[in-house]
Amino acid sequence: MTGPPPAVTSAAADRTVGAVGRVILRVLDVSREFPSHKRGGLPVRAVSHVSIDLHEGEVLGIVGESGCGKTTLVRCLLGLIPPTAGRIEVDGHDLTRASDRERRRLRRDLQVVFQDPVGSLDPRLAVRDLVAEPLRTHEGGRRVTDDELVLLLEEVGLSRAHLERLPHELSGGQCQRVAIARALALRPRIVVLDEPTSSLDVSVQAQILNLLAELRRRHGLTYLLVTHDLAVVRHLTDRVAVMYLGAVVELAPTEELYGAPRHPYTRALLAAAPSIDRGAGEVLTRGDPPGAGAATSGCAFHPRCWLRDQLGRPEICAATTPVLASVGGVRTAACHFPDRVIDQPQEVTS
Amino acid sequence: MSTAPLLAVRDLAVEFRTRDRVTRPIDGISLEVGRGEMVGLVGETGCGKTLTGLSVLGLLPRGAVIAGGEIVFDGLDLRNLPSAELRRVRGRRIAMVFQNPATALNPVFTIGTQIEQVVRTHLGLGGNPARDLIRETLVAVGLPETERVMGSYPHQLSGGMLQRSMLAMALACGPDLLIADEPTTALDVTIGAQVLQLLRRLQEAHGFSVLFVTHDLGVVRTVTDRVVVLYAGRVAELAPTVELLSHPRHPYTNGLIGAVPRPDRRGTALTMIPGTVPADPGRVPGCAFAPRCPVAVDRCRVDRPELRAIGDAGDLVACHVAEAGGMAGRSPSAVSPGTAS
Repeated sequence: MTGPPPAVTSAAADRTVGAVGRVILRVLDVSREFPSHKRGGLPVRAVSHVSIDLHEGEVLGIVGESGCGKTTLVRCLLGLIPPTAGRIEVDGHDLTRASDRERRRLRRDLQVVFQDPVGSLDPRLAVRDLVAEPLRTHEGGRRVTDDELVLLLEEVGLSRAHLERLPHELSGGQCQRVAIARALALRPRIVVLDEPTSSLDVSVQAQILNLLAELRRRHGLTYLLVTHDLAVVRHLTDRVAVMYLGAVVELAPTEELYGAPRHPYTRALLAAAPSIDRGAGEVLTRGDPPGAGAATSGCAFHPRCWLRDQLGRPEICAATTPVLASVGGVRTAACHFPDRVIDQPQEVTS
Repeated sequence: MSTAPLLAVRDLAVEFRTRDRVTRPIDGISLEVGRGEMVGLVGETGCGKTLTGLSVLGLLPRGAVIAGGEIVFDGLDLRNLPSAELRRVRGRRIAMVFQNPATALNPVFTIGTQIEQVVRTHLGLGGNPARDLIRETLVAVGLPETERVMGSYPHQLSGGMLQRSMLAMALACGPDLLIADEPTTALDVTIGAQVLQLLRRLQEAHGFSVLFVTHDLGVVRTVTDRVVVLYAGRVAELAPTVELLSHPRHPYTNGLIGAVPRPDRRGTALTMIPGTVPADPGRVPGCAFAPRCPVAVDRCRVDRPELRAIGDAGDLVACHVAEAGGMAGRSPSAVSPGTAS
């Protein structure tokens, strides 16, 4: 294992505040390891020293491919699994060390919408009970009136007519609206959106994205959007964190990151995405990402890095883990040669 | 070589028949795939794109039957071909690659054994000649560590390597037509781009035709020459790819393109198509899209539009309202013709 990269200086992140508010969710040097399957094997580090500040009112995207650790990070944030190191603070209160009672109170402010809307709803509960459930749980089993529920349903584009329905009687898009209503029921301040549109058709995805944008405006919500879909991230977010093999490799305001990526992995990812306007551009990286926890020295991306190849394979890439550092303004990237990422890349045939 | 298209599907209808009812998920689809051409088959869930591919292969699921139309492959009437002859075509001359390679491959046999079985069945090759052919094919799909791949079970390979193995299995017998059903949907972005690049390169090198089933218009733009847009089991629009994306003429195509998040429309509302797809399109009297269409007129609800040619770029549209100028004037959704890649 290589030395830990230091946390992102939150001073750097703080400068992005601008129109948005103070930090309401702080991820501080969080790591999560899982024990190895193999006897005596090294633990697998799924998330490695991640630090991210979420500001009130902003939409922060986390993108990355399978195995980059985004799901593990979300599970840590929601308190579903404890991180093995680091802190997660909601409004200055440490979620990871909170008592059960305090955690429950903090979690009210932090709700989640999952990827699979049909699978994440109990198939035996009607919409009425699905949406009432968080209210009953968090508010001492109180009686929840239909009028209250209908208001919530109307917020997400459903109506009183849906109260009696079971999940299998709804379309995928309607199920996702129910999941959003559940998340909003407690009037949270932060909503974690974990691949909220990945299993939906594009026309339904458009409805859900529009709804999420509208709800944010109406309630001043803060979103943490976790997805592999680069077009969705660009559409909805203010800032983006790009993850690769458990670590954040670049964190920047969305348009700056898409306009001029400063990490070679970000650039390869953006180049590969099939776009309706130009098709998939270039293939810059060979091979697959190694599995999470693959022990590499130096930069985790160096075995696949096009920039390293173009620079004549400098030794530092394989020897020293680059730290997430400012690359101008509020942007941070973890690369030894961030200024060379704008170099013209050579496409590879794979 | 004849000039007739390699594959011609005419008025295909597929029905699901259960004891108490009949539904018609495919209700009159016609399309052609030329030699050496890559044709995209696009639409949302339930539009019939996968069933169309399976119909060509004669692999419809239990309960589904072809209720009408014809499927002609290189002069062969596949619908009426005896099953023994169909088996000689399927797998050898028409191959298929599925969306999820991890479930399409058999988990208890090695990759080598599974490809060998295909080669033995269709080419009668065994032993060293078979293994030589497999090695050659694996190298061609970008898996140079042939011995390791052949000796591996599916769970030992990554998703990208599995999809390359699937491609190798499909291409080992040198098919004329490849039906690729969402081959990159289950893959990560960088891996998907590699597979698309590979597919395009192999297609250019060997000249086979591809029917590429996908819901992703970006993928369509990347690899296909022409696109068929399906809606509710019918063809809505059929046109050269760049023409279709830059001048969508069917209101559904237009809505579909407008729903895709794009850089220049960041922070603005995306086009929404109101309502939902009809449950049984076979029962819709007029245009299947009319109930959701922003420009529908009375005629659309009673009179089913046939495909007709519009403009001079080879665009076919099933719409009474569509005009040669396209829908571009009505919405900001059309993409720039730009540079086709």
